[in-house]
Amino acid sequence: MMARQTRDQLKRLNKLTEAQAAAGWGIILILGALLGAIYLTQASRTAAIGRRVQLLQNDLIDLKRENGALERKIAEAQSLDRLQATAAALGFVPANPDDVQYLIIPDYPVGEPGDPLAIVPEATPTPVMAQTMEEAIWFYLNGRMKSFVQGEAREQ
Amino acid sequence: MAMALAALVILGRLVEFQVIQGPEWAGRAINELLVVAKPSRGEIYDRNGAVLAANTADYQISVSPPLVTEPEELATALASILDTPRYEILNVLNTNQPFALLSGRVPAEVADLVRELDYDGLQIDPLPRRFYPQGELLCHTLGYVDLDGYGGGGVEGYYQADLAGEAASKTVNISPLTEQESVIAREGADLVLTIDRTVQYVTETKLKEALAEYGAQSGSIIVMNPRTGAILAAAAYPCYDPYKYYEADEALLLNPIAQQQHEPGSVMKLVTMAAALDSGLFTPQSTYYDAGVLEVGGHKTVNWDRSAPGTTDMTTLLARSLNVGAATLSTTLGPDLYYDYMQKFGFGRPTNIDVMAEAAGQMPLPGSEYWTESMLATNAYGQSLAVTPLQMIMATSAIPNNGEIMQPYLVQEIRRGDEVVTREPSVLSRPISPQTAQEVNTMAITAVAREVPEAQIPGYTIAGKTGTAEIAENGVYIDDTIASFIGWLPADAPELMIYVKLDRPQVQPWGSLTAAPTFANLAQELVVLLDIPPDNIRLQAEVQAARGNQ
Repeated sequence: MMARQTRDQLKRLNKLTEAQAAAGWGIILILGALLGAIYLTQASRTAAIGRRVQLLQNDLIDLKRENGALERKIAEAQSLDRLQATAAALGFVPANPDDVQYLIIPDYPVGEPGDPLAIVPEATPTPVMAQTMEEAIWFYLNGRMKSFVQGEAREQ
Repeated sequence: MAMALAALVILGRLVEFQVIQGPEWAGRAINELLVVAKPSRGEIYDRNGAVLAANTADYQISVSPPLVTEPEELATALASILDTPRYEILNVLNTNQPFALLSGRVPAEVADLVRELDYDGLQIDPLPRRFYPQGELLCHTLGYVDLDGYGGGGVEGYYQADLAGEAASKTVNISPLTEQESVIAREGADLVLTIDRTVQYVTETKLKEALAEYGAQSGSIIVMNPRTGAILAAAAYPCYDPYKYYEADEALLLNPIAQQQHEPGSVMKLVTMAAALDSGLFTPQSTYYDAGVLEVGGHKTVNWDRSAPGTTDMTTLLARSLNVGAATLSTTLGPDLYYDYMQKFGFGRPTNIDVMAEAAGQMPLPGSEYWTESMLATNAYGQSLAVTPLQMIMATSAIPNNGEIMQPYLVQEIRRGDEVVTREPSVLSRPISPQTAQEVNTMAITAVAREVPEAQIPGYTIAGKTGTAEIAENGVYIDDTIASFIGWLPADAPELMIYVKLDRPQVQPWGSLTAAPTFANLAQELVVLLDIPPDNIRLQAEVQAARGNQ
């Protein structure tokens, strides 16, 4: 009787131990899978952002190229040969000194002559470059947030 | 159970990739890469902001044949675009080489057509190139940039280091899980010139018209502000297209303004007169006896018209451009004093203008093996020495500028990002006193009024001097001449100084009949462009302003 009880108890203990062991292994596997999933998720997100950065850089190169082509067209359109031909076609003629009438206005306020370089293009401010990956991601997210907010403001 | 099995499989693969095969994958991954950041070349603007030189790109077309899936179709499409036989392209596409060049340099329009094809394996790489939207305008002063990005001649060459910027390179770790380092190049600086594009255009137009009208081979015109030394225009013809500099004759790539030396002729008499008066040995009221010939060092100097005017005053000497008179002045000064003045005026050395490759001119000095005593006489009227047009206008600018010669310059601003470096006018030398300058200025006004009606424009007082220099070939003077005129206005408060030089005019050899009217034609347009009112208006305004201040 005692032996049977003991055997029964041992069987129950074994089953309990097996269950605990299974549970333990299960938790370990689940945690492992979870960690693996988190790692894979982070790595794939990083790769996706990197790919997006690459695509944006390609877009930037294309835009710079198009911008340069447009600047060239503008500069060529402003060439003096073209301007002179256009002026002549519009009926303008070169002025002689006799064609110019000067007005002498007493007490006319004559200050410092205007800056002859006033229309020279402004110096382009140096863009702020991200120094780390975290900064790059922050700038990207910040820009997206600003666009999002501005978009909402425009809609309003 | 199934889930546990799946999890085990995932874990096992992770361990296999990260631990067992880890070192192999790490070795195959490119963790480090040499990154090179190339700067853009700075642009060049005129004083009003018009673009004179900017950047564009040609393109290199290449292909990776193993990546091409439709070689026949691609070869057909590319043949017409690249203007290359189809079979040549097909041969390249059917090879196994990883990379092949199809076209070394094509313009942007061709590259755009190739880009539209959208085939795998094609690669289009930009090749930076300089372009000049104004075409040939200011070609010598700007210079050019070769296909490797190096400036040749002019401002492009002189400011090569500033314009080109500095590339940056660094070996960086490109792993996305490590800190990323930026590689930033120092961009090229932009330049703002003293040149006024419109003044330059008008000057070049007038020069071409003069060359055609007088049958001259070549020529140059410089427009300068004598008060500051700023060059407003520097025209020389024939010119070349700096965008296609490689097609130009090598001789054309030299800058006639700063590199071409010539005997200046009688315009030098202004300098000789200034030296004579400043020395104190002569005054404006001094006279000399002109017998029509003066022998110095075995050489006989005669007047251009073979005249012998007798007792002559200084103003008449200048007005009638008497060689005997000029030689009398220089020989009276003596070689030490005369050449001392000539050196103070800047002859015999470069002006140090900011343009690439400048000639020093040739002025043998007493004591050198090339100097002879006769040169003391001939130099006085601009023969037997060689100067550049830039040296001539710079030296003479002392007269309208109270005796001071300003350092001539072309670039007034260098812009590097937010930093702007501005060039301030500076005094190069003071060869003569303000009183002497005023005296010679008055003589030069009289000279033009009396003898050079071709240089006058209504409403403005002009001061200046003509020049007709003989040209020496193989040691012998030939019939051809260099006709010139140097003048400034308004004569009492000069804002503009112009030096016109025409080489070998065939219609007329004389400066008074070729260069002087060219000066007048140009000045007439420039006074309108630059808002210089006629003398009576200007003086009226000054009187009114003075009354207002009382």
